[in-house]
Amino acid sequence: MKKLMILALGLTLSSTAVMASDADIVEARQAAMKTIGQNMKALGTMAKGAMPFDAAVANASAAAIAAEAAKISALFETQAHTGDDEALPAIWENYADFTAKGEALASAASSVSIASKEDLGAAMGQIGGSCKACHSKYKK
Amino acid sequence: MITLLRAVLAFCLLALVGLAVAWFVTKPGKLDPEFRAELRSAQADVTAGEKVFWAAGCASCHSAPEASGDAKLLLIGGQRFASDFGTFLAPNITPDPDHGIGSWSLENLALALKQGVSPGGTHYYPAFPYNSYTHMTAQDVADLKAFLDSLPADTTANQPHELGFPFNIHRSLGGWKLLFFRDDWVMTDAEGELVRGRYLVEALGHCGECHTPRNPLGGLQKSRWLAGAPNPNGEGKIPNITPAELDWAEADIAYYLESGFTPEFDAVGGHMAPVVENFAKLPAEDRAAVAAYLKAIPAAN
Repeated sequence: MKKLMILALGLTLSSTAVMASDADIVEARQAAMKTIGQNMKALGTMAKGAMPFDAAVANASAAAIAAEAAKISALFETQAHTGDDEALPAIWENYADFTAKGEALASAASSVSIASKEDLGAAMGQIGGSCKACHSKYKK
Repeated sequence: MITLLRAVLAFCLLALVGLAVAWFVTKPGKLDPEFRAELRSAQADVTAGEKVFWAAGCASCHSAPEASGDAKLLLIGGQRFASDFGTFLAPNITPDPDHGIGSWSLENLALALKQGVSPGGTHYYPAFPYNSYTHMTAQDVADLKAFLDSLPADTTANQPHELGFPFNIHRSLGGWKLLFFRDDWVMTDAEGELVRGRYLVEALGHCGECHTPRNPLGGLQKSRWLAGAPNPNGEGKIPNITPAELDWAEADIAYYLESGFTPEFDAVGGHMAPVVENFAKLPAEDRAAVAAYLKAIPAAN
Protein backbone atom coordinates (compact mmCIF):
# COMPACT_ATOMS: atom_id res chain seq x y z
CA MET A 1 0.00 0.00 0.00
CA LYS A 2 2.74 2.37 0.98
CA LYS A 3 4.58 1.54 -2.22
CA LEU A 4 1.44 2.19 -4.22
CA MET A 5 0.99 5.56 -2.57
CA ILE A 6 4.56 6.51 -3.30
CA LEU A 7 4.04 5.43 -6.89
CA ALA A 8 0.82 7.47 -7.12
CA LEU A 9 2.55 10.47 -5.60
CA GLY A 10 5.44 10.03 -7.98
CA LEU A 11 3.10 9.87 -10.99
CA THR A 12 1.24 12.98 -9.86
CA LEU A 13 4.45 14.87 -9.34
CA SER A 14 5.93 13.83 -12.66
CA SER A 15 2.76 14.69 -14.59
CA THR A 16 2.66 18.11 -12.92
CA ALA A 17 6.29 18.52 -13.85
CA VAL A 18 5.51 17.66 -17.48
CA MET A 19 2.61 20.12 -17.59
CA ALA A 20 4.68 22.89 -16.11
CA SER A 21 7.49 22.22 -18.50
CA ASP A 22 5.18 22.41 -21.53
CA ALA A 23 4.31 25.96 -20.53
CA ASP A 24 7.96 26.67 -19.79
CA ILE A 25 9.07 25.35 -23.15
CA VAL A 26 6.52 27.46 -25.01
CA GLU A 27 7.38 30.50 -22.92
CA ALA A 28 11.09 30.13 -23.69
CA ARG A 29 10.33 29.84 -27.40
CA GLN A 30 8.10 32.89 -27.35
CA ALA A 31 10.73 34.87 -25.46
CA ALA A 32 13.33 34.03 -28.12
CA MET A 33 10.95 34.99 -30.94
CA LYS A 34 10.12 38.23 -29.15
CA THR A 35 13.80 39.12 -28.84
CA ILE A 36 14.22 38.46 -32.56
CA GLY A 37 11.16 40.65 -33.23
CA GLN A 38 12.47 43.51 -31.11
CA ASN A 39 15.80 43.49 -32.91
CA MET A 40 14.03 43.27 -36.27
CA LYS A 41 12.01 46.28 -35.17
CA ALA A 42 15.21 48.21 -34.44
CA LEU A 43 16.40 47.44 -37.98
CA GLY A 44 12.98 48.17 -39.48
CA THR A 45 12.49 51.54 -37.77
CA MET A 46 15.85 52.67 -39.18
CA ALA A 47 15.06 51.24 -42.60
CA LYS A 48 11.74 53.11 -42.66
CA GLY A 49 13.53 56.30 -41.62
CA ALA A 50 11.58 56.61 -38.37
CA MET A 51 14.93 56.55 -36.55
CA PRO A 52 18.28 57.85 -37.78
CA PHE A 53 20.58 55.18 -39.22
CA ASP A 54 23.21 53.95 -36.79
CA ALA A 55 25.56 51.22 -38.09
CA ALA A 56 26.58 50.09 -34.60
CA VAL A 57 22.97 49.58 -33.51
CA ALA A 58 22.15 47.82 -36.76
CA ASN A 59 25.04 45.37 -36.50
CA ALA A 60 24.34 44.71 -32.82
CA SER A 61 20.70 43.96 -33.68
CA ALA A 62 21.71 41.54 -36.42
CA ALA A 63 24.14 39.83 -34.02
CA ALA A 64 21.40 39.53 -31.39
CA ILE A 65 19.10 37.92 -33.98
CA ALA A 66 21.84 35.47 -34.95
CA ALA A 67 22.38 34.53 -31.31
CA GLU A 68 18.67 33.87 -30.69
CA ALA A 69 18.25 32.01 -33.98
CA ALA A 70 21.07 29.66 -32.99
CA LYS A 71 18.88 28.49 -30.10
CA ILE A 72 15.88 27.59 -32.26
CA SER A 73 16.71 23.90 -32.78
CA ALA A 74 17.16 23.32 -29.05
CA LEU A 75 14.06 25.33 -28.12
CA PHE A 76 11.82 23.29 -30.39
CA GLU A 77 13.38 19.87 -29.78
CA THR A 78 10.47 18.69 -27.63
CA GLN A 79 6.98 18.98 -29.06
CA ALA A 80 5.04 21.09 -26.59
CA HIS A 81 1.85 23.13 -26.91
CA THR A 82 -0.17 25.32 -24.60
CA GLY A 83 -3.28 25.66 -26.73
CA ASP A 84 -2.73 29.28 -27.65
CA ASP A 85 0.81 28.81 -28.96
CA GLU A 86 1.37 29.30 -32.66
CA ALA A 87 3.66 26.37 -33.41
CA LEU A 88 2.23 23.96 -35.98
CA PRO A 89 2.62 20.18 -35.46
CA ALA A 90 4.23 20.17 -38.93
CA ILE A 91 7.44 21.28 -37.19
CA TRP A 92 7.92 17.82 -35.70
CA GLU A 93 6.79 16.05 -38.85
CA ASN A 94 9.58 17.80 -40.79
CA TYR A 95 12.01 18.48 -38.00
CA ALA A 96 15.14 18.37 -40.18
CA ASP A 97 13.63 20.94 -42.57
CA PHE A 98 12.50 23.07 -39.64
CA THR A 99 15.94 23.17 -38.00
CA ALA A 100 17.55 23.86 -41.38
CA LYS A 101 15.30 26.91 -41.65
CA GLY A 102 16.29 28.03 -38.15
CA GLU A 103 19.94 27.65 -39.06
CA ALA A 104 19.34 29.58 -42.29
CA LEU A 105 18.13 32.52 -40.19
CA ALA A 106 21.16 32.26 -37.90
CA SER A 107 23.57 32.26 -40.82
CA ALA A 108 21.70 35.04 -42.66
CA ALA A 109 21.80 37.23 -39.56
CA SER A 110 25.43 36.51 -38.75
CA SER A 111 26.67 37.01 -42.33
CA VAL A 112 25.33 40.54 -42.79
CA SER A 113 27.58 43.51 -42.34
CA ILE A 114 25.72 46.81 -42.29
CA ALA A 115 27.69 49.95 -43.12
CA SER A 116 25.02 51.99 -44.91
CA LYS A 117 21.28 52.34 -45.27
CA GLU A 118 21.43 50.34 -48.50
CA ASP A 119 23.15 47.52 -46.62
CA LEU A 120 20.38 47.74 -44.07
CA GLY A 121 17.69 47.28 -46.72
CA ALA A 122 19.49 44.24 -48.12
CA ALA A 123 19.99 42.80 -44.63
CA MET A 124 16.29 43.27 -43.82
CA GLY A 125 15.40 41.38 -46.97
CA GLN A 126 17.80 38.54 -46.19
CA ILE A 127 16.85 38.15 -42.54
CA GLY A 128 13.14 38.81 -43.10
CA GLY A 129 13.11 36.27 -45.94
CA SER A 130 14.36 33.59 -43.53
CA CYS A 131 11.68 34.54 -40.98
CA LYS A 132 8.93 34.22 -43.56
CA ALA A 133 10.27 31.01 -45.11
CA CYS A 134 9.85 29.29 -41.76
CA HIS A 135 6.69 31.06 -40.52
CA SER A 136 4.75 30.34 -43.70
CA LYS A 137 5.16 26.62 -43.12
CA TYR A 138 5.37 26.22 -39.39
CA LYS A 139 3.49 29.07 -37.74
CA LYS A 140 -0.29 29.37 -37.41
CA MET B 1 -62.44 7.28 -55.54
CA ILE B 2 -62.34 10.05 -58.09
CA THR B 3 -61.50 12.49 -55.33
CA LEU B 4 -58.52 10.36 -54.33
CA LEU B 5 -57.36 10.11 -57.93
CA ARG B 6 -57.62 13.87 -58.23
CA ALA B 7 -55.62 14.35 -55.08
CA VAL B 8 -52.89 12.02 -56.34
CA LEU B 9 -52.85 13.77 -59.70
CA ALA B 10 -52.69 17.17 -58.07
CA PHE B 11 -49.83 16.01 -55.87
CA CYS B 12 -47.88 14.62 -58.85
CA LEU B 13 -48.43 17.83 -60.76
CA LEU B 14 -47.20 19.91 -57.83
CA ALA B 15 -44.15 17.68 -57.42
CA LEU B 16 -43.37 18.04 -61.12
CA VAL B 17 -43.72 21.80 -60.95
CA GLY B 18 -41.48 21.78 -57.87
CA LEU B 19 -38.85 19.77 -59.67
CA ALA B 20 -39.08 22.00 -62.73
CA VAL B 21 -38.69 25.08 -60.56
CA ALA B 22 -35.75 23.48 -58.73
CA TRP B 23 -34.19 22.56 -62.05
CA PHE B 24 -34.74 26.05 -63.36
CA VAL B 25 -33.44 27.95 -60.33
CA THR B 26 -30.35 25.76 -60.01
CA LYS B 27 -29.50 26.33 -63.69
CA PRO B 28 -25.95 27.62 -64.20
CA GLY B 29 -25.81 31.40 -64.67
CA LYS B 30 -24.78 33.29 -67.79
CA LEU B 31 -22.76 36.38 -68.61
CA ASP B 32 -24.86 39.41 -69.28
CA PRO B 33 -24.84 40.74 -72.85
CA GLU B 34 -23.32 44.07 -71.87
CA PHE B 35 -20.35 42.34 -70.21
CA ARG B 36 -19.87 40.10 -73.26
CA ALA B 37 -19.73 43.18 -75.44
CA GLU B 38 -17.10 44.70 -73.15
CA LEU B 39 -15.08 41.49 -73.34
CA ARG B 40 -15.19 41.55 -77.13
CA SER B 41 -13.94 45.11 -77.32
CA ALA B 42 -11.23 44.76 -74.61
CA GLN B 43 -7.62 45.09 -75.80
CA ALA B 44 -5.74 42.52 -73.70
CA ASP B 45 -2.48 43.64 -72.11
CA VAL B 46 -0.27 40.84 -70.77
CA THR B 47 1.70 43.13 -68.38
CA ALA B 48 -1.51 44.40 -66.81
CA GLY B 49 -2.66 40.76 -66.70
CA GLU B 50 0.30 39.84 -64.52
CA LYS B 51 -0.82 42.44 -61.93
CA VAL B 52 -4.35 41.02 -61.99
CA PHE B 53 -2.85 37.55 -61.58
CA TRP B 54 -0.92 38.47 -58.42
CA ALA B 55 -3.71 40.58 -56.96
CA ALA B 56 -6.17 37.71 -57.49
CA GLY B 57 -3.76 35.23 -55.88
CA CYS B 58 -4.21 32.60 -58.62
CA ALA B 59 -0.79 31.04 -57.96
CA SER B 60 -1.39 30.70 -54.23
CA CYS B 61 -3.92 27.94 -54.89
CA HIS B 62 -3.12 26.65 -58.38
CA SER B 63 0.65 26.18 -58.20
CA ALA B 64 1.93 22.77 -57.08
CA PRO B 65 2.02 22.16 -53.32
CA GLU B 66 5.03 23.98 -51.80
CA ALA B 67 6.08 25.55 -55.10
CA SER B 68 8.27 28.62 -54.73
CA GLY B 69 10.02 31.08 -57.04
CA ASP B 70 9.40 30.50 -60.76
CA ALA B 71 7.57 27.25 -60.02
CA LYS B 72 4.73 29.47 -58.75
CA LEU B 73 3.98 30.18 -62.39
CA LEU B 74 3.46 26.51 -63.23
CA LEU B 75 -0.22 26.23 -62.37
CA ILE B 76 -0.57 22.45 -62.31
CA GLY B 77 -2.88 22.32 -59.27
CA GLY B 78 -2.87 19.60 -56.64
CA GLN B 79 -3.01 21.71 -53.48
CA ARG B 80 -5.56 20.39 -51.01
CA PHE B 81 -8.10 22.62 -49.26
CA ALA B 82 -9.89 21.10 -46.30
CA SER B 83 -13.36 22.38 -45.36
CA ASP B 84 -16.42 21.29 -43.40
CA PHE B 85 -17.81 19.82 -46.61
CA GLY B 86 -14.81 17.76 -47.69
CA THR B 87 -11.44 18.39 -49.30
CA PHE B 88 -11.12 20.36 -52.53
CA LEU B 89 -8.20 19.79 -54.88
CA ALA B 90 -7.08 22.74 -56.99
CA PRO B 91 -7.13 21.92 -60.73
CA ASN B 92 -4.53 22.42 -63.47
CA ILE B 93 -5.07 25.85 -65.07
CA THR B 94 -2.00 25.84 -67.32
CA PRO B 95 -2.54 26.49 -71.06
CA ASP B 96 -2.47 22.74 -71.85
CA PRO B 97 -5.58 22.19 -74.03
CA ASP B 98 -6.46 18.77 -72.58
CA HIS B 99 -5.39 18.88 -68.95
CA GLY B 100 -5.43 22.62 -68.34
CA ILE B 101 -7.59 25.45 -69.65
CA GLY B 102 -5.76 26.10 -72.93
CA SER B 103 -8.84 25.34 -74.98
CA TRP B 104 -10.98 27.91 -73.16
CA SER B 105 -12.25 31.02 -74.90
CA LEU B 106 -12.17 34.39 -73.19
CA GLU B 107 -15.90 33.99 -72.52
CA ASN B 108 -15.31 30.57 -70.94
CA LEU B 109 -12.83 32.13 -68.51
CA ALA B 110 -15.16 35.05 -67.78
CA LEU B 111 -18.07 32.69 -67.08
CA ALA B 112 -15.92 30.66 -64.70
CA LEU B 113 -14.64 33.72 -62.82
CA LYS B 114 -17.87 35.72 -62.74
CA GLN B 115 -20.53 33.02 -62.44
CA GLY B 116 -18.62 29.97 -61.19
CA VAL B 117 -19.70 27.93 -64.21
CA SER B 118 -17.49 25.63 -66.29
CA PRO B 119 -17.40 25.69 -70.11
CA GLY B 120 -19.45 22.46 -69.96
CA GLY B 121 -22.15 24.23 -67.94
CA THR B 122 -21.59 22.76 -64.48
CA HIS B 123 -21.33 24.74 -61.27
CA TYR B 124 -17.96 25.12 -59.59
CA TYR B 125 -17.65 24.77 -55.85
CA PRO B 126 -17.24 28.10 -54.08
CA ALA B 127 -13.76 27.01 -52.89
CA PHE B 128 -12.99 28.73 -56.20
CA PRO B 129 -13.72 32.30 -55.07
CA TYR B 130 -16.12 33.36 -57.84
CA ASN B 131 -18.21 35.01 -55.12
CA SER B 132 -15.44 37.62 -55.14
CA TYR B 133 -14.26 37.42 -58.74
CA THR B 134 -17.84 38.11 -59.86
CA HIS B 135 -16.93 41.81 -59.48
CA MET B 136 -14.08 41.57 -62.01
CA THR B 137 -14.07 44.02 -64.88
CA ALA B 138 -14.05 42.77 -68.47
CA GLN B 139 -10.69 44.47 -69.00
CA ASP B 140 -9.13 42.58 -66.07
CA VAL B 141 -10.53 39.25 -67.25
CA ALA B 142 -9.12 39.86 -70.74
CA ASP B 143 -5.72 40.93 -69.35
CA LEU B 144 -5.63 37.93 -67.03
CA LYS B 145 -6.41 35.59 -69.91
CA ALA B 146 -3.51 37.01 -71.89
CA PHE B 147 -1.16 36.46 -68.95
CA LEU B 148 -2.41 32.92 -68.21
CA ASP B 149 -1.94 32.05 -71.89
CA SER B 150 1.70 33.18 -71.65
CA LEU B 151 2.53 30.71 -68.84
CA PRO B 152 4.02 27.22 -69.36
CA ALA B 153 1.63 24.36 -70.16
CA ASP B 154 1.67 21.07 -68.30
CA THR B 155 -0.13 17.74 -68.69
CA THR B 156 -0.68 16.93 -65.00
CA ALA B 157 -4.17 15.40 -64.69
CA ASN B 158 -6.75 16.90 -62.33
CA GLN B 159 -7.61 14.96 -59.20
CA PRO B 160 -11.24 14.70 -58.04
CA HIS B 161 -12.45 16.59 -54.97
CA GLU B 162 -12.97 14.38 -51.92
CA LEU B 163 -16.57 15.17 -50.99
CA GLY B 164 -19.36 13.15 -49.39
CA PHE B 165 -23.08 13.13 -50.21
CA PRO B 166 -24.88 15.52 -50.81
CA PHE B 167 -22.02 17.91 -51.49
CA ASN B 168 -20.83 15.78 -54.41
CA ILE B 169 -23.97 16.69 -56.42
CA HIS B 170 -22.95 19.63 -58.59
CA ARG B 171 -26.51 20.69 -59.25
CA SER B 172 -27.05 21.29 -55.52
CA LEU B 173 -24.64 24.19 -55.91
CA GLY B 174 -27.33 25.95 -57.93
CA GLY B 175 -29.36 26.06 -54.72
CA TRP B 176 -26.33 27.30 -52.80
CA LYS B 177 -25.79 30.07 -55.33
CA LEU B 178 -29.47 31.01 -55.16
CA LEU B 179 -29.11 31.45 -51.41
CA PHE B 180 -25.70 33.09 -51.16
CA PHE B 181 -24.24 34.16 -54.50
CA ARG B 182 -24.59 37.94 -54.90
CA ASP B 183 -22.89 40.47 -57.09
CA ASP B 184 -23.44 43.56 -54.95
CA TRP B 185 -20.61 45.25 -53.08
CA VAL B 186 -20.31 45.07 -49.30
CA MET B 187 -19.07 48.67 -49.20
CA THR B 188 -21.95 50.26 -51.07
CA ASP B 189 -20.49 53.77 -51.39
CA ALA B 190 -16.84 54.13 -52.29
CA GLU B 191 -14.98 57.17 -53.55
CA GLY B 192 -11.39 58.03 -54.42
CA GLU B 193 -8.85 55.36 -53.45
CA LEU B 194 -11.60 53.39 -51.69
CA VAL B 195 -12.89 52.38 -55.13
CA ARG B 196 -9.59 50.66 -55.85
CA GLY B 197 -9.33 49.36 -52.27
CA ARG B 198 -12.79 47.85 -52.49
CA TYR B 199 -11.98 46.21 -55.82
CA LEU B 200 -8.76 44.73 -54.41
CA VAL B 201 -10.29 43.50 -51.14
CA GLU B 202 -13.79 42.45 -52.22
CA ALA B 203 -13.00 41.24 -55.75
CA LEU B 204 -9.44 40.29 -56.72
CA GLY B 205 -7.88 39.75 -53.29
CA HIS B 206 -10.96 37.77 -52.16
CA CYS B 207 -10.03 38.61 -48.54
CA GLY B 208 -13.57 37.94 -47.30
CA GLU B 209 -13.33 34.27 -48.28
CA CYS B 210 -11.13 33.57 -45.25
CA HIS B 211 -11.56 36.64 -43.03
CA THR B 212 -15.38 36.65 -42.98
CA PRO B 213 -17.21 34.01 -40.92
CA ARG B 214 -19.56 31.63 -42.73
CA ASN B 215 -22.96 30.23 -41.76
CA PRO B 216 -23.47 26.46 -41.37
CA LEU B 217 -24.16 26.12 -45.11
CA GLY B 218 -20.94 27.90 -46.07
CA GLY B 219 -22.50 31.25 -47.01
CA LEU B 220 -20.59 34.37 -45.96
CA GLN B 221 -22.10 36.30 -43.03
CA LYS B 222 -21.79 39.70 -44.66
CA SER B 223 -23.04 41.50 -41.54
CA ARG B 224 -19.76 40.37 -39.98
CA TRP B 225 -17.64 41.31 -42.97
CA LEU B 226 -13.91 40.62 -42.32
CA ALA B 227 -14.60 40.04 -38.60
CA GLY B 228 -12.43 36.90 -38.48
CA ALA B 229 -13.30 33.22 -38.70
CA PRO B 230 -12.07 29.78 -37.67
CA ASN B 231 -9.35 28.45 -39.95
CA PRO B 232 -11.04 25.87 -42.22
CA ASN B 233 -8.05 23.53 -41.85
CA GLY B 234 -8.56 23.56 -38.09
CA GLU B 235 -5.33 25.26 -37.07
CA GLY B 236 -5.79 28.55 -35.29
CA LYS B 237 -8.05 31.44 -36.19
CA ILE B 238 -8.14 33.83 -39.14
CA PRO B 239 -8.00 37.27 -37.51
CA ASN B 240 -10.56 40.04 -37.45
CA ILE B 241 -9.25 42.79 -39.77
CA THR B 242 -12.00 45.35 -39.15
CA PRO B 243 -11.17 48.41 -37.02
CA ALA B 244 -12.65 46.46 -34.08
CA GLU B 245 -9.39 44.56 -33.74
CA LEU B 246 -6.95 45.77 -36.38
CA ASP B 247 -5.74 49.01 -34.82
CA TRP B 248 -2.63 49.45 -36.98
CA ALA B 249 -2.02 52.73 -38.77
CA GLU B 250 -2.75 52.75 -42.50
CA ALA B 251 0.96 52.95 -43.27
CA ASP B 252 1.58 49.90 -41.06
CA ILE B 253 -1.03 47.86 -42.92
CA ALA B 254 0.52 48.83 -46.25
CA TYR B 255 4.01 48.01 -44.92
CA TYR B 256 2.79 44.60 -43.69
CA LEU B 257 1.39 43.79 -47.14
CA GLU B 258 4.75 44.71 -48.65
CA SER B 259 7.24 43.30 -46.14
CA GLY B 260 5.29 40.74 -44.13
CA PHE B 261 6.19 42.51 -40.88
CA THR B 262 3.60 43.51 -38.30
CA PRO B 263 4.19 46.80 -36.43
CA GLU B 264 5.89 44.67 -33.73
CA PHE B 265 8.02 43.03 -36.44
CA ASP B 266 6.56 39.60 -36.10
CA ALA B 267 6.88 38.00 -39.54
CA VAL B 268 3.79 36.85 -41.43
CA GLY B 269 2.95 33.16 -41.17
CA GLY B 270 0.52 30.54 -42.44
CA HIS B 271 -1.63 31.15 -45.48
CA MET B 272 -1.16 34.91 -45.22
CA ALA B 273 2.51 34.53 -46.23
CA PRO B 274 1.74 33.81 -49.91
CA VAL B 275 -0.84 36.64 -49.84
CA VAL B 276 1.87 39.08 -48.77
CA GLU B 277 4.19 37.66 -51.41
CA ASN B 278 1.52 38.50 -54.00
CA PHE B 279 0.75 41.96 -52.67
CA ALA B 280 4.46 42.82 -52.55
CA LYS B 281 4.41 42.55 -56.35
CA LEU B 282 1.72 45.22 -56.72
CA PRO B 283 2.24 48.99 -56.90
CA ALA B 284 2.49 50.82 -53.55
CA GLU B 285 -0.79 52.68 -54.31
CA ASP B 286 -2.60 49.34 -54.35
CA ARG B 287 -1.36 48.39 -50.89
CA ALA B 288 -2.28 51.87 -49.63
CA ALA B 289 -5.76 51.49 -51.14
CA VAL B 290 -6.29 48.19 -49.31
CA ALA B 291 -5.15 49.83 -46.07
CA ALA B 292 -7.55 52.74 -46.61
CA TYR B 293 -10.40 50.33 -47.28
CA LEU B 294 -9.71 48.33 -44.10
CA LYS B 295 -9.75 51.53 -42.05
CA ALA B 296 -13.04 52.62 -43.67
CA ILE B 297 -15.13 49.49 -43.07
CA PRO B 298 -17.35 49.27 -39.98
CA ALA B 299 -15.92 47.64 -36.86
CA ALA B 300 -17.48 44.20 -36.44
CA ASN B 301 -17.10 41.32 -34.04
